[in-house]
Amino acid sequence: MILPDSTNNHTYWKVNMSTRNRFTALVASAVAGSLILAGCGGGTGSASSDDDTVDVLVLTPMSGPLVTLGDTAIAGLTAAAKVINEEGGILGRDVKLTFEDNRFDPMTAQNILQEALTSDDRPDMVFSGVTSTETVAIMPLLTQYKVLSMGSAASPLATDPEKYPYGFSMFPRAVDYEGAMAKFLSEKGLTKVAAIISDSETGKAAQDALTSQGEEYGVEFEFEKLDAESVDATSELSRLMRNEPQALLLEGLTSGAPMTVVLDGKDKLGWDIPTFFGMTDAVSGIQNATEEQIRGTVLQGAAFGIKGSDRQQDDDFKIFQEAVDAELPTKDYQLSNHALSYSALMVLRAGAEKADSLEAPEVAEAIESLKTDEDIPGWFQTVNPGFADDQHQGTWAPEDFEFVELGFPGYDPTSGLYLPAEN
Amino acid sequence: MPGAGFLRLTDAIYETYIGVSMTIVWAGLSLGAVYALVALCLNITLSNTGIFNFAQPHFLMLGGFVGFELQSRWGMPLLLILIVCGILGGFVGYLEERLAIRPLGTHRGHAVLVTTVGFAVALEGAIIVYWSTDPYPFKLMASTQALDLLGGRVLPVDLVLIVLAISVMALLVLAQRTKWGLAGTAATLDSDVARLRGINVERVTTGAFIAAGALAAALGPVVGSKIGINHTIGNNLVVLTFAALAVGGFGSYVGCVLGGLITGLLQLATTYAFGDEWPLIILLAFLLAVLLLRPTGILGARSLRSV
Repeated sequence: MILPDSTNNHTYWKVNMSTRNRFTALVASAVAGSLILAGCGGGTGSASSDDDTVDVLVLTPMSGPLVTLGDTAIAGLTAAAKVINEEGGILGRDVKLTFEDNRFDPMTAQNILQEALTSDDRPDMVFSGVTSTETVAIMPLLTQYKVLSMGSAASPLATDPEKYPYGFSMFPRAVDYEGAMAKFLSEKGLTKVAAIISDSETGKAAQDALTSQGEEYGVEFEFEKLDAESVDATSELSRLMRNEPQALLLEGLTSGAPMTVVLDGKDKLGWDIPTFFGMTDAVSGIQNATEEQIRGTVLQGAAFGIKGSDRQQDDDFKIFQEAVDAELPTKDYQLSNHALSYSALMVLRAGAEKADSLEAPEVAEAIESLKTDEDIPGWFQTVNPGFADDQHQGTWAPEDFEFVELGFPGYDPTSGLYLPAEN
Repeated sequence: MPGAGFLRLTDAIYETYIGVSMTIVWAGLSLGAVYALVALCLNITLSNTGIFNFAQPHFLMLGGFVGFELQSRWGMPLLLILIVCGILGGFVGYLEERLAIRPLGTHRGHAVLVTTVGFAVALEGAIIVYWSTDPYPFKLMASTQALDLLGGRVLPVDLVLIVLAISVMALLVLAQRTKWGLAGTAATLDSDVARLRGINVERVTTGAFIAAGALAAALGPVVGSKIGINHTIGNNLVVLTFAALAVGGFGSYVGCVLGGLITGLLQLATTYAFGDEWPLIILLAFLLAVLLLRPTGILGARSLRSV
């Protein structure tokens, strides 16, 4: 289960989010546009002035509501840099990370990036952020300056190869994880499923993917959206109850109130229904839930992130786990979040070494040809990463996910793994 | 048997509609109680000094954060948490009056809007500096089991909020009839005349800010266990609480509770009926309709004074 995206911390009072999102997008676009114009004279090309190191600028929340998520990115990247440097670096050069606090704020991210790109010491790669909110805002600037970027944004808006040819995301595509979900539900004989999704880019992507994949697998979904800071979901759940669905799916619910709000709402309504947690629900929601709320629920997670999974026998996973444990002994987010940033540097290394260059166009082209896990040393997330010229997010097959009935507790913060019922 | 079929049908109707509806009613009343409690605190300064204190919801936010700190780090019992929050809130209320109100003198005009907003920003800034912008999950009550009540189901914290809103309202209505309450009303209607009648208007003003601050901060932990704690609570509460006050009637404690409960009920009922994109629009339309028909709100002052 990977981090929810695009949380918004400004109002929980059921404000018309789409209007606000449009306004935010408009402001962000205007700022992005002005910065691009300002940067027109800044030249292009991603050559760093420091030839002894591979310079990676990391833009991540180091304060604000997603600071603990920022910690996962920092831990994953630091662990990856240490592993890579111990193995000889990238093109014989050590990876050097520079962390900057984007405060989960698009405008702050743009300002920091603008300064970095117009300096003499331009980074070779930018880690573009942990959610779509900050990532989408800086993609035009990165493209303008032809700088390679990787991040963990879930929204396809951040990884459109036509618009942003040098941008990649390690986050699985919604169509992949929701396809696996629809297939699983279908195999369970479920044809009518209610879904509570977050009112965010992640939620929107999940809704689109569930609708299309549901049609393919014969599962009909009905949706209700929940704001990141909603305080009561009784009405939304009641609306879903009216059509007597066979199961309830929670997707993209964040670390704030929503997960608890939904589970409390279920209790209030006395709604005893098979419940599924999706790939993008926050782990803290499971940690804060009571035993009665967790028992019997089924969770979708990255296969390597479930305790006891065969995928944990992969040597690359073991190296990753050990390196991340050294950086972050207690994990507020599930291990698959740390894997996103960790994998970004592994992909950079594979692409740069294949291209024998750190120039963004060459590296991006090389990454597009990385199809199998053997092409990317250190990759363990999926059987085959499957990047392509029209595909800048990794490809996840149904076998890359696992569905498990959660035990209680359902999560172990030391290992960062979900705990199935039998454990 | 037709009789058994009919019973099954009525059971189904009850389960599907009435049972669910009552649960939504409880949830709406609980959310409305949050608005009502904030409105009651706002109304203390409004009815005793004539000042709409934009920083008032921020006192509640402060109480929530302090309550979280006292519970999670110090393991303090509930009663002590509420007392400490109340004392702190009273002190901060006193500071606000001395720093943001008193310097404006007797003819404040619209300057109080600026200074109270400024105090709210400062308070939020202080909270961010100490607690950061992280949201905190906060459960004041151990029990999270829903209770069956009047055909619906309600969480204990929801029930506490509803009872609390009505109790606080009753206390404030009684307080309004005391010497202090009457002095406040007189000072609000005409401070010069009140002074001539021997009322210490400055003391009444200070007292109102201390009382409102103490009450709001003491309520913070209880409200926080319903809505969670984060640094945006204050600003978020201002808008819908203002709507609740406008619907119920500025200056009326009973109106505060009525407006708050109507706002909460309307919000959740319209979500249930039309989906989550409509409540705010319908709420604003309702507010406009109320203000057109009764510009002073449902229970606001019924006549305008001609001068």
